[in-house]
Amino acid sequence: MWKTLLSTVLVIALTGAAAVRAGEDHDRARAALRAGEVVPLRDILAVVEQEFRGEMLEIELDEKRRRFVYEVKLLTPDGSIIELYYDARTKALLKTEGRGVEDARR
Amino acid sequence: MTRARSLRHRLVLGAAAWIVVALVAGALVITELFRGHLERQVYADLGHHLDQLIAGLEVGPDGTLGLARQLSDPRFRKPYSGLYWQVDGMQQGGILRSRSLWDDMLGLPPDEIERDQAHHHTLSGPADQSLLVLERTVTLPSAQAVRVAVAADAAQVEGVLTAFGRILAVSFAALGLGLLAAAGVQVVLALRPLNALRRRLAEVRDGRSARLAGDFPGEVQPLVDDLNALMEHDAALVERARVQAGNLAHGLKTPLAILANEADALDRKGAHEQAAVLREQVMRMQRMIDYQLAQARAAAAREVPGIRCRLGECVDGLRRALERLHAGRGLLIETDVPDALLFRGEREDCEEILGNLLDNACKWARSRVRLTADSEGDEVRVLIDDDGPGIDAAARAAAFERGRRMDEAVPGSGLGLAIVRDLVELYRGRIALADSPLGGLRVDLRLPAARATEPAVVKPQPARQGGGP
Repeated sequence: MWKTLLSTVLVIALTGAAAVRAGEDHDRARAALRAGEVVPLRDILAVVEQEFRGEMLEIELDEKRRRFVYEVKLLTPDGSIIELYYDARTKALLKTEGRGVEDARR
Repeated sequence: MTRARSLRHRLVLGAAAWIVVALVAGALVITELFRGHLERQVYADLGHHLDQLIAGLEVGPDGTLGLARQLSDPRFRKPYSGLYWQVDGMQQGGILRSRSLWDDMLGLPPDEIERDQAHHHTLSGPADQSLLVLERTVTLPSAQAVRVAVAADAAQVEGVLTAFGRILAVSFAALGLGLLAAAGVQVVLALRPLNALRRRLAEVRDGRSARLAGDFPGEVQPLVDDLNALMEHDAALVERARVQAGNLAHGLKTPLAILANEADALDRKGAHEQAAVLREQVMRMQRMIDYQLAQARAAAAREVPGIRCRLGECVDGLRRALERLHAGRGLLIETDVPDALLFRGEREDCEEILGNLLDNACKWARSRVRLTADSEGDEVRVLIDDDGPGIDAAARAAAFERGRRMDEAVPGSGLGLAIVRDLVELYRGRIALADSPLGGLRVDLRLPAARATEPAVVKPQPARQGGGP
């Protein structure tokens, strides 16, 4: 969790006026999309749906050293909460967290 | 009853057509009403969200627009959740957006017309959702005008409608089947009098009844009354023809008797030749009258329903008469006729047919004549055997010809068997000649039978005059 906090602080410190105005990750997401730095969320969701089963709980966009990462939180059919990290530009799955990740794979 | 002509099929098909049309139309109307109701509910919810959104708008000290507090519905926070809000400036779109819109935004169409009140649009939104949008323009305390919009995914309406439509289809299908079954039952019940009428008509045709009996509904009764009147009229016509034939025969009886007396007178005066000619012609006239009367009776019996006679009684009477007639010859006449056997026709005709055949058998028999009868399906089968010389197979066809006499030595006019043949044909019966097990001729006769279960129809006897066979 501290990483997220840190990155948010970093983002607020480093990004331009557009992000500061609202200061929310969806505004950053839109700005990044328009700058061509990320793919649309619907593409990421399509990848998630293709690879995993489960109900989407939450989505966040993190930025680490000018690299945007989508963090998708899923509730799997057997009741586990898992987190999936996707590269927001390449749609590659970077990391997974939580038990039951393998069970939730299609 | 063919499919195209059947009243029942037509009525049931008609009922099916209007049931299907009514139910389909009903289902469409109900679905549309329900869709309207659902959309009104969605817009009412959107109205509450819009009010909350407008209440939360505030302009910061630096002039930027912000939201004092998050909207209460968590779906505004979840990306692509299907519930969105957005605030547009007059020049710049998407000043503020709900988190659920994420990297997308609502493309509100430019409209200035209805500035003062909320109105709605249908737009396409994130992830190709179809959105119901409620929007209005407000002027902030800072005199800045903004367009405020909230939107909901129409798929929730469509989802509910789909589920509702499925239930509606199943229940309407069940209702339709029920209505169809009820219509079928109604048609069968309504047409029942017609089936009864058909049965009554069959009874009349089979000779079990003289008229259509029973009460029918008001729509059918006039038809039944007309049919009865028609049948009574026919019967009256036939009856009148018979009475006239009888009267004619009766009227001729006295002149014929006078002529016969004249023949006797001529005989006494010694004019034997003229007397013989006269007597012969009188006898021929008498025979012709008998023959035509028999034909009239048979035609009448075929046309008038409900006529029958008991075969056993008829045969018993004939046997007694023939036993007296042939008393001197020591002839044995055996008869075997079940009591229940009924001939569908006039008793006189029965006597005419069987009398002629029995008389013939007695004339030719050496010592024995036997008559047996039994029922065979719809027919009565009568076998008359004798132990006389019989007829060659080759000569049998000629036996029924009018005026043909098999042996000139045996007295008779030669009309008897011809009358028998005509009568049998009029009654749609059959007659055949064969070898008898007694050694002589066998007559194999089939006549229409009447059923014993129905009460006999009492028929007035017509004025009938003239001699026996």
